[in-house]
Amino acid sequence: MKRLAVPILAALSAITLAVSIHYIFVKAPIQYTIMDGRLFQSSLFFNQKIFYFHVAQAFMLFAAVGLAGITSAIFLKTRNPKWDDIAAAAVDVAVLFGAVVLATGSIWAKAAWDVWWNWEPRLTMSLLLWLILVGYALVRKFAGPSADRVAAGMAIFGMVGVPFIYKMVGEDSHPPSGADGVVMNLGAEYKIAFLMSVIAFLLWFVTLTIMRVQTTRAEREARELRERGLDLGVLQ
Amino acid sequence: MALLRQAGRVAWKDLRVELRSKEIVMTMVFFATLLVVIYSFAFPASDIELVRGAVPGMLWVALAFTGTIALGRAFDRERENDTMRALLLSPVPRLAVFLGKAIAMTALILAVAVVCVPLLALWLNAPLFAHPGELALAVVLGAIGIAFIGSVFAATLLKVRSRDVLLPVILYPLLVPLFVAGTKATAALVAEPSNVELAWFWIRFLGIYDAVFLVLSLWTFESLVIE
Amino acid sequence: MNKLIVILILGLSAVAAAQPGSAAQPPQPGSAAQPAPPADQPPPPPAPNDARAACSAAMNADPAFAKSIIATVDAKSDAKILEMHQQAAGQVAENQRHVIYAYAAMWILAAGFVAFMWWRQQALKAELAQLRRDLDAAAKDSK
Repeated sequence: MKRLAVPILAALSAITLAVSIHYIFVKAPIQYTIMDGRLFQSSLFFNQKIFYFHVAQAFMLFAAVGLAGITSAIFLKTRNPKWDDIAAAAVDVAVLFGAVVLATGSIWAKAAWDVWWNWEPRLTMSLLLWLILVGYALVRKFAGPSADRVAAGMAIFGMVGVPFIYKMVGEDSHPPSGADGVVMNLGAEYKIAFLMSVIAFLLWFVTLTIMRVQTTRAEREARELRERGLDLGVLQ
Repeated sequence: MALLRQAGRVAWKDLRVELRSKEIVMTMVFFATLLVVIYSFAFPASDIELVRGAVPGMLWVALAFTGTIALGRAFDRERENDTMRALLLSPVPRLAVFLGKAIAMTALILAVAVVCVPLLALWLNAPLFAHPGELALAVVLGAIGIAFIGSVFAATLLKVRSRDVLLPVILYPLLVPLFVAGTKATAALVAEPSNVELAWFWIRFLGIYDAVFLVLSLWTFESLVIE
Repeated sequence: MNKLIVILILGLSAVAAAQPGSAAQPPQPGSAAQPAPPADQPPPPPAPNDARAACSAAMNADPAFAKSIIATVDAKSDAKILEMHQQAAGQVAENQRHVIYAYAAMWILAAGFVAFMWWRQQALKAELAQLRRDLDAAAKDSK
């Protein structure tokens, strides 16, 4: 069962992804509006197709950060390395999602605002969050034997800091998010496409995390075996 | 109450060690002075608008840099003679040890600010004393935040070989909200005309930030620092 | 893509065509949607509805005239809407490039991540096997 989990999940996410691509490019109409006899200003045209993946992966970024923070807290309480493995894996996956969000967002900004980067609050926030995650990865790599504790602390502090970053940057030209934001006001045909892509990326996130957990476990095992070998005097 | 008294004892011990050697305070203040000198070359004091825009950043960058130096050195001192273990073994709760260390750190960072703010006002002609009360509040809250979060991670990194590079790597991303809030509060105070209401928004932000991370630091310190 | 635009054009022109027709219909007297005129104002001249009715009656009397009017309006609004849709199609073609970039960036990053993970897993597997072999050999030797 455990051996099969990754292929099954990967297949499921591939299927849902294909369905969501079908919905995005075939079913959902191109988003533009004609009002008062002229093209409405905020028409996104084909660019709106970026939104489905960009926002869905941003959700997954927050999910990954939340998972890392919570598992780190459990790890500090229980000292069970199993939780630490999950936290490490979640942060690695979050780094990937963060990179994707920044890249797609930047390309969208080029299309919509004609600049790649403009220190707009939401961009700043994603960048800051991503920097915390990269710092976590650095700690993991260079902090030696007590890396797990330092990294767990960083994950918890980072997760708690997210609302502050969110509050700090405020609102600006980024399309609004939250209760009365873009996602909630989507038309039905867009909403289905968006929901499909959220499901696809949720599955994709779970798949990647499980795969990464397996790697972190193997890393831990190798480290323990090496230590045992050193103790026995077999290895140098 | 006993906890606070014990924390006060630990803080007083740290400060007394510091007052005898003056190692951290002197190097920190000297470093901050050098920073201000470099700033005055980079930003001509004659251009008041430029100074108004840049001085909040100067102040908070100076606090961030000197704060990291002080944190690294203060905890190195405990490591050198393995006195951290003695402190942790002593019959006071670990919370008191942590609180004491963080309070001592706050005092050190504030000592830098006390030198840095007048120097910036003197050499760069910055209107930092337009609203002294609000500015002092923002700086104190900022120092508390840096000291508490910094103490948690400096203590956690005590046994890590590359702690000198890792401390800023961990601390700066986590402290960005604090630095931004501090900078924005200062900017609102030195602007012409100054916007005290906006400054208060950021001071409240700093207060909430400090409160949340204070609780989090107290909660995590014990499980993070295990000898 | 083009099919979609054609469908949109057809739909919108149908709406545009339907509007003059519905507006020509005289509103039902006494319907709830019609707000009653305030009492203190002089009653509005009965002209608009009567005039419209008279007008449409006259137009309907000559079917060729009515058709020609509708055709002219249709052609005008069609031309305008077509132009706007062509403009929109231009925009779409232009920013198709950005969508391709975005999707490419996304998949390249994801593929890089998976490739890196796979490579790491293989390396670890080899290392683990090697370590186990060494340890087993050492255990055997000591026996």
